[in-house]
Amino acid sequence: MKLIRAIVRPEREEPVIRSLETAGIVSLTKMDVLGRGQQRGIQVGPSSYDEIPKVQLMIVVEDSQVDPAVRAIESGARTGRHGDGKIFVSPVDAAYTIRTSELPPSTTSA
Amino acid sequence: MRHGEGIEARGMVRRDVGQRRSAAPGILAMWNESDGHGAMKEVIAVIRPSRWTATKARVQRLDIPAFTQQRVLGRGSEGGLWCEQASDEATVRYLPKRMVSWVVEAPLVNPLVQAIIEANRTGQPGDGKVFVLPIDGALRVRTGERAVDALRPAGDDEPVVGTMREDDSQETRP
Repeated sequence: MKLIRAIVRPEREEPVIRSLETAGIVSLTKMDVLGRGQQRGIQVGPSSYDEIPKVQLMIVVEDSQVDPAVRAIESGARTGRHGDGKIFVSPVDAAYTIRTSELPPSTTSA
Repeated sequence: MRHGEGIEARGMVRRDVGQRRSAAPGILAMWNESDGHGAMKEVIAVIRPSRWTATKARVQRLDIPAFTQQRVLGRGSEGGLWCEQASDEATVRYLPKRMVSWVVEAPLVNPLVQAIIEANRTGQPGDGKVFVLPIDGALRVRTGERAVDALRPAGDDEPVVGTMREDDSQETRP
């Protein structure tokens, strides 16, 4: 299982989510974040912005779903200009559904 | 692979995922030098906002006082809330959730996950998820302590007295 974190343009959030839905991935967590990339923010006339608003999407998927998920995010988020964002994939040891999962074995009980 | 060795030695291999372990030799060893044995894990829970206070109190009983939490929006496999009689405007696509992260030593993971599940299970859809992730390094910025030492009480800490009681009392509220 993998955790995918995608940092995308706020205005691309809906296209990304739609294309994830098309790939069969509905569950997600999203949050508003501020950040900057290699360009160290943007310069608009005299004012510079070094923290640009982004949306971070978090999804956890089976290994086999990682490629479809990344492709879906890519296709929804790409404009071809600087600031399209990043996708990070990291390993997940275990996942529990609070409503239904078995409790993990207790380490203290004999 | 001979042609890659020079680049690798300078720690400049960044794109080749297959070689990432050797891309920065010694970094992980440096992280873990103070304790080679202690694996660290991050436990991330996405829960109902209304259960957060009870969860915090329950987890504190395990002597896990440190956490990071934030308000997020999310949805599970149900895809939000759908009201069958109502028009499309009445559907709620994303629900407010609390996302909490604890970084703990590996032996504490199972008790922590148990506590989170016990404090959050209502049996209704929307109870949330718990994820367990590996952590490669940790550093307490104030003291420079690394790895599991960064998670344990600092060497110069005064013993913590009485701070748990407030949260415990909140749990008993209806």
